[in-house]
Amino acid sequence: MPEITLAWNLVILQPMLNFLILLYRVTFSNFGLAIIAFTLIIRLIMLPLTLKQLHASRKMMTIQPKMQELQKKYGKDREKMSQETMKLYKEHGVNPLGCALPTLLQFPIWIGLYQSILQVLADTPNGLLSLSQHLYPIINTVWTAVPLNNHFLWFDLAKPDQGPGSFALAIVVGGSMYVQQKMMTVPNPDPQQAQMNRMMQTMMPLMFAFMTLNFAPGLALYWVVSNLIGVALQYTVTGWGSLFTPAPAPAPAAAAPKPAPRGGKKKADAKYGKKR
Amino acid sequence: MNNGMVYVGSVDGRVFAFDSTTGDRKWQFPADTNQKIGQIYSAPTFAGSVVYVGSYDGKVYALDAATGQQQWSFTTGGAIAGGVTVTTDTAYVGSSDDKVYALNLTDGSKKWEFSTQNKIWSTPAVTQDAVYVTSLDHRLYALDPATGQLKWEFEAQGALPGSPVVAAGKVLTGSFDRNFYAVDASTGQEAWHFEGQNGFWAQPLVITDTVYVGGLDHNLYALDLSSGNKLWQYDAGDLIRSDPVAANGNIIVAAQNGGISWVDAKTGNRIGDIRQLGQPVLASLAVHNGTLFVAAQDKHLYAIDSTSPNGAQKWVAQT
Repeated sequence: MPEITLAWNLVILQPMLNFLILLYRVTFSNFGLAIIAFTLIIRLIMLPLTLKQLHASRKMMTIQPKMQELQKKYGKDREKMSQETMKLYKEHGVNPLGCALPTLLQFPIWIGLYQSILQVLADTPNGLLSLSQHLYPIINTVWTAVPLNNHFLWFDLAKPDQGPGSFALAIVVGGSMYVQQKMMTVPNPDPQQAQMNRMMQTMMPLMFAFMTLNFAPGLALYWVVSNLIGVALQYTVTGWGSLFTPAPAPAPAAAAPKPAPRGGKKKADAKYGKKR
Repeated sequence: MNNGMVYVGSVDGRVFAFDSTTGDRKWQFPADTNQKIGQIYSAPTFAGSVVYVGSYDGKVYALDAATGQQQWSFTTGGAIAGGVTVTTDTAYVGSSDDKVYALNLTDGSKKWEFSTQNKIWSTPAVTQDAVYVTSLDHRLYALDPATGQLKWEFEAQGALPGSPVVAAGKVLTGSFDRNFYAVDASTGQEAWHFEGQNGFWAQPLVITDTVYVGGLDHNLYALDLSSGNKLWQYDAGDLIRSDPVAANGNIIVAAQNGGISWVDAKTGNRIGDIRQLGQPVLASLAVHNGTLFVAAQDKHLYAIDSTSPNGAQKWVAQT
């Protein structure tokens, strides 16, 4: 699939890579600061979408009581429940996809950023040679900047080391992601759905913490900064949201069938007559 | 090359000696096929019955040229990507620990070291007056060969990954800032520079008053040695990382995509080329007795007839 690779390089990798090097120059030849600046700029560009997502999330919260009523009324009829839910969304102008789109858009950014970091911080002859083919000829600054200094604080930004520093970073990545997710979680009256949401809230941060230990620390730095910005934005729109809301108790098990009321048979016989 | 033998290092971490006529393997180092040293990015140096090679494991190895037995090794603080330059009694080598070392040829003990501010991936150039070293810190250094004292330094705008060449009182080197520089060897003042469209990494070739240099912009340039004026350029089809060589009035250049071209040294016209190699070529070319030796990234050493632009293959050996 060379055409796809070429298109990816032209549209995502090369612009990102050259931009990162320019930021490196602006941030006093500090690649950690360049990544932080990059994150701020990306979040700024995505701000309109993010705000839309946050407002959609808040609207979802406000219609929760009505969702619960629907659950009580149509809980067992999934099709009817789904229909009524969509009707409710439409009435209140809620778009469920509005909550997911900004997150989906981040995926190519993560992949492009990871590739850019590895390319830009190449410290082998073959790596530098490969980098030379991605630098824009007309921007002299990028040519004079390489090779970049790949250290920030105690990290080599291109190499995971799985030492104490990396564990600390993994905790920060996972923790900030958990806080952000918990804040934006919309309580779901459906116990099954609520259970799945709780699992996601735990699994996603753990997964990203694990990735932090195995991927370039530069990418983890992006996640930390991005998550912290996300928390700040979320707070301005919804406050702490569901962060301090305890998880609802699991739904009780189905009650045992009640015994028939006394005299019920006699009453039934009186109504319908005894069987002969 | 020496005495009918050709020596090559592999990215697999081994050094080989082959019969230059038949391609028969004479020895390999380490001899144990289960052992390796670090990757070898530069051509081994032959001098006085010893082969010297720098390895990515940070060591310089001195091997008996006839048997491949290790005579000594010296450990630097970083990976070695460049070659070793040898004089009558000293070996000079740069390292990724930012330093250039001068070693006693007899036992590998250190005579002196000099620190730059970034990795050294190039092979030092040595004359009676100075050792010239390029570094990724953007500088070309001239050092006293006996003491390592700094004589002068020249700063380019970009990293200097390639090996310098000294000719006609000038030190010639390419840079990642897309310039190819000629610097006065005595004073360190810039004599001229030539701007390409991408960086320069390959070591230049000087014949009489013409400099031939391959660029990462795919072009082989012929420049006037005294002025830097461009005489001609030839598009090799892919980036040129490999050092060009001369044979029979032609310049032979290899591009990364494995295409090897024979180019008229005076006009830059292509005389012929071979494309069937099909393997990336990043290592230096070498010519000896009518044979062109090409170490390709597919871990093979190709021996090709250098006298004919059709480039008939003589033999190929696995490295």
